[in-house]
Amino acid sequence: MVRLAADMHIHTVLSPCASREMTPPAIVREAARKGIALIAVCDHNSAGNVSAVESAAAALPDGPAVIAGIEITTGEEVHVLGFFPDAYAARAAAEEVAAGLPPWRPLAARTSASPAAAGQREPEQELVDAEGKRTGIETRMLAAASCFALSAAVDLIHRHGGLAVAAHVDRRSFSVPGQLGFIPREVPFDGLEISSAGAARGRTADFVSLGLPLLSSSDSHFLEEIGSGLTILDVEAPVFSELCKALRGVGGRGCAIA
Amino acid sequence: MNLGDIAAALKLEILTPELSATGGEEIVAAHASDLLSEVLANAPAGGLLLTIQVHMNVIAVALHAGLAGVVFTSGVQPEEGVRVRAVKEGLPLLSTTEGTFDTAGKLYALGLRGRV
Repeated sequence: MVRLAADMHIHTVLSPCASREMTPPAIVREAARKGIALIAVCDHNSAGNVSAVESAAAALPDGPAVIAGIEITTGEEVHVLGFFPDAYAARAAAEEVAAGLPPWRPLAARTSASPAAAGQREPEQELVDAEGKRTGIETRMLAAASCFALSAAVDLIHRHGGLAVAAHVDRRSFSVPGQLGFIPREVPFDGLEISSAGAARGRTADFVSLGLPLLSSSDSHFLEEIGSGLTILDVEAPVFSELCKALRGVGGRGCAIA
Repeated sequence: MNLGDIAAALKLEILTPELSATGGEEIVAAHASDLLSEVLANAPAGGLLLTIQVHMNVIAVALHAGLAGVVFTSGVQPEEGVRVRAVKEGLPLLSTTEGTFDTAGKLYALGLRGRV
């Protein structure tokens, strides 16, 4: 059994709100530099850059293990993380999500307002390769709410063999408690994510009574944020099957907020 | 005005006909929000909630806030399971194809207010 640090919520340049610096090689270098053994790539409503991050990590001698993930925006505008056995499963789930998203067009095509004038970077929803070079543009609006209601999104993740974790439950925005008032017990979450800021403020205690595994992660949109929230895993190896067992506390495995 | 009067005035569809809409309490307030945490914090007890949020939690939150009923706007309709729970809990549900803004304006014109 090994004890390792995991950051299970990292965005890439594909997410419209993420920095342009969030390329696969930069992400895995930053994680390796900070001694993080396991990361999960969770872009909004897409798994399009997961394989590129996996390849970038494999190309780095001390690169982190990579879990294929997604951050689904439900119809209630709740964010739910899905962790999958592999990139294939993540992409299959993401395809179902994408089918219900509205098309995306660059801001300049929709309005006369200039994002450059406002000091903002136009989101580009970039699909990239393991070197960070652009291979395409995602043409669905990833920032939009999907057609999946909360229970349906959790079911979608489970149908594709994944783990469903309610994202940043301590935050007011885009969280289950924020949108829905409280965490419904009938939704079969596999875990709850506490934001790094929430964990630092002692908010973890507010969610212990639900009896679900608790994780903390960085929700990184910028390189410097990677590792700002960490989950400590006791596992045989940094792989998906062990993550499942750690969340369920099987055979001495476990997870805890760092 | 009670709920039946309001439903008639705004031509609201009554989703819970099992519950009597007439003879209920006088309704003097309403609240418009889709964030249920905000409803818990700010909705006036005894008032109506206008929302496009159709998750099951609407029922529990409305009951906790002591609301007199929920009006789903913009033509959204909750699933049958949500409706059944509302009937069981005695919480009237209504709906309208009009948006929240227009519905709130009509309720205001009828004399309802946000805070009482």
